[in-house]
Amino acid sequence: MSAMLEVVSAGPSLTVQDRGRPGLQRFGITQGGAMDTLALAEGAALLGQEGDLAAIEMAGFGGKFRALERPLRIALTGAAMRTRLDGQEQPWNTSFVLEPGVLLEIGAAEDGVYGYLHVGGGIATPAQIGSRSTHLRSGVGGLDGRALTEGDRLPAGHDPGGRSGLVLPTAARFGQREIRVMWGAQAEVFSPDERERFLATAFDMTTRRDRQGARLKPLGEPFHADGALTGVSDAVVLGDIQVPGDGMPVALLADRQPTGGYPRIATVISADLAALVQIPGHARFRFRLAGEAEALAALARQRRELAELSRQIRPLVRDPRDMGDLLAFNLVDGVISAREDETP
Amino acid sequence: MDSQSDRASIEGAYSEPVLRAAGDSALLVEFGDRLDPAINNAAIAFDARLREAALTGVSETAPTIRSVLVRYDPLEIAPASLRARLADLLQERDWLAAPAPARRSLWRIPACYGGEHGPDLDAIADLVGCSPQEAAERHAGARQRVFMLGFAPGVAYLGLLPDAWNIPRLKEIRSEVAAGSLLVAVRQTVLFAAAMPTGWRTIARTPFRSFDPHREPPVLIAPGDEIAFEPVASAEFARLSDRAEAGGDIVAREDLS
Repeated sequence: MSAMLEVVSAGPSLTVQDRGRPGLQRFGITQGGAMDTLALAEGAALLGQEGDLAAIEMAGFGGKFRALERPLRIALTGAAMRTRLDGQEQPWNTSFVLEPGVLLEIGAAEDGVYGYLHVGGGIATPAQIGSRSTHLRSGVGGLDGRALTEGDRLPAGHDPGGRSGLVLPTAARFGQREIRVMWGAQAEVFSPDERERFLATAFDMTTRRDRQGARLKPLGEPFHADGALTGVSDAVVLGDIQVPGDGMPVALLADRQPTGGYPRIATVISADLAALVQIPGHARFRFRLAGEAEALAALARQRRELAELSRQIRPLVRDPRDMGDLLAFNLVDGVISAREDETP
Repeated sequence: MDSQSDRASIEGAYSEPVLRAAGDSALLVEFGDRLDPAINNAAIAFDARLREAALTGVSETAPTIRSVLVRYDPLEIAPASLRARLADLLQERDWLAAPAPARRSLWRIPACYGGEHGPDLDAIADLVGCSPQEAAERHAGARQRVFMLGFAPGVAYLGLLPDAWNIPRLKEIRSEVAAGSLLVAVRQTVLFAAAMPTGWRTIARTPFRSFDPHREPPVLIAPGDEIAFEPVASAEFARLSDRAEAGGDIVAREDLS
C-alpha cells in the first residue's frame, strides 16, 4: 500500500495545489495553482524534491493530520501556523517525519494567510486538465474538485527518501507592507489626480477575500473611472488591481477570472505577488509605483534566491529549555540523528 | 485596396494596433476598443500567427474580444525585444482585413427564457423597450458570434445584439447565478458554464454546459463560432437537463466553413 495522509479534521479552506494549469487562458481557464508559489518552492527545497509536486494549501487555519500505514516525510511552509507534533510544539518552516499513529495538529495562522503542508513524493490525487490544483468554482482538480474535509485520505506519491529535521529561515515577504505596482492596462481611464490618490492612499486588507481575489478597503474615498461600466471585457492578469463600479479595489489572485470588464488601475509586480497574498486581514499596507527595470531586477533577484534556497537550509536544533518533557522527547527523531537519511 | 479607409469604416478600430503592458510579464495587443467582428477577427488571426511564430520566452497567447494577451518571461525575453518582435509581426499584414477563422461552427442551443430561469427578463425588456415576450423572441432570433472565451472555464462572450440592448452592467456584483445562465449587458450575451457571481442580468438558462471537465475536450465552442438559441418551455428544459446529465447530446452543430 502506498503512503497516505489522513485528514483527521479540516480547517475551513484546505485545498490541493500545485503550479496550476498554464497555457489554457484561451479556453477561459486561468492558471490557478498555489497562492504563494514561493512557499511551494520552499517545501520542495526542504524535502529535496521537484517543485512541481502538489501540496495542501491551508487558508488561515490548518487541521489535524496523520500518516496511514507508513511514515511520511512532511514539510510546513508559507504562513506560520501554531503546530503540535505528537503534542509537542513543532516549529514552522521545518521538515520532519510523521510516524503512523502520531497526530499532527496545525492551528491558526500567526503571521500571513496561506500555509502549506508538503509530503515526500507530493500529494498524488489524480491530475485533471494537466494539474492537481483545485479550482473550487469549476469543481476541478484536488479531491473531486472540492475543499478537503474530515476523513479524506490523500495518496502520497513515491518518495525516494531524503533528509528531514531541517529548517528554513522566515522569508522577508512576511511583514512586507509596501507592495510594488506598475500602472495597469486601463490606468488611462483614471484621471492623473485619481491615480496619484491611489498611490497616496493606505489600504486595509479586508476579510472579503478568497483564492479568486481580495477586496481592499481604501482609507479614503472610493476610486472612480469614466465609462467604467460599459468597457469591453479584456484579458486580466495575476495581480491586477481592478476597480469595479463601487470604486472599492479588488486584487485579482490565482483563481481570478481570466477576463473582466472593470478597469485595472495597477498591476502588482511578479516579485511582490507572494507578499500581497500573505497580507493578513485588517493589516494596513500601501502600493508603490515601480518602473519596468525595478520590477525585472526584483524578479531576477527572487529567482536567484529560489535557486539558492537549499543553501539556506539548516538542521533544526532544538533548545532543550523549549522542550516540555525532555525525557519523553525522542532525540533520535531529531535533526542530528541517524534517521536523517532514512527512507520512510 | 485602400486599407486605411476600410479601417476608418470599422467603428472602434485603432489606426495602428496598440501594445499595452499588463504588469511585468504580459502584454496586450489591442486592435480596437469595441465589440466588432472585424476587430475580433484581427485578434483571432494575430493569435494564430503568434502561435505559429512560437517566440522564445512567450509562454502563452490568448485572443480576447478586441486584443491578444501575450504572457512571457521577462527574464527570457526583454520587454523591449518582445515589443520589437510583435511590431514586426504586426507589420506583416492588415490584421483588420483578416477573414473569420477557416474552421468554425454554428451551434443550436436550447434555452428557457424568463421565469425562474430568466429572472431579469422583465427588467431587461423595460431597458430594451419592448414586452418580455418580444425581448425573449428578439434575443433568441439574433444569431450571435462567439467573441471570446473568458471569465471562467468555457464561459462564452456572444454578440453583437442590436443597439437597444446596450444595457449597463449592474453597479453591484451579485453573489451567484445558476450554471447555464444567459446574461446580457452592453449588447452582449454571456453563457455561464457554472454557477458564478456576476454584474450582468439573467435573461434565460440553457441545460447545455460549455465547460465539462469530464468531457474531452472540456470546452467545445471556439472564438469565431456562431450560436443560435432555440426557446424551450420549462418542462422541455427539465427534460433536456436530464438528458444532458445522462451524457446525451442536446445541441446541434453545423459546419460554417
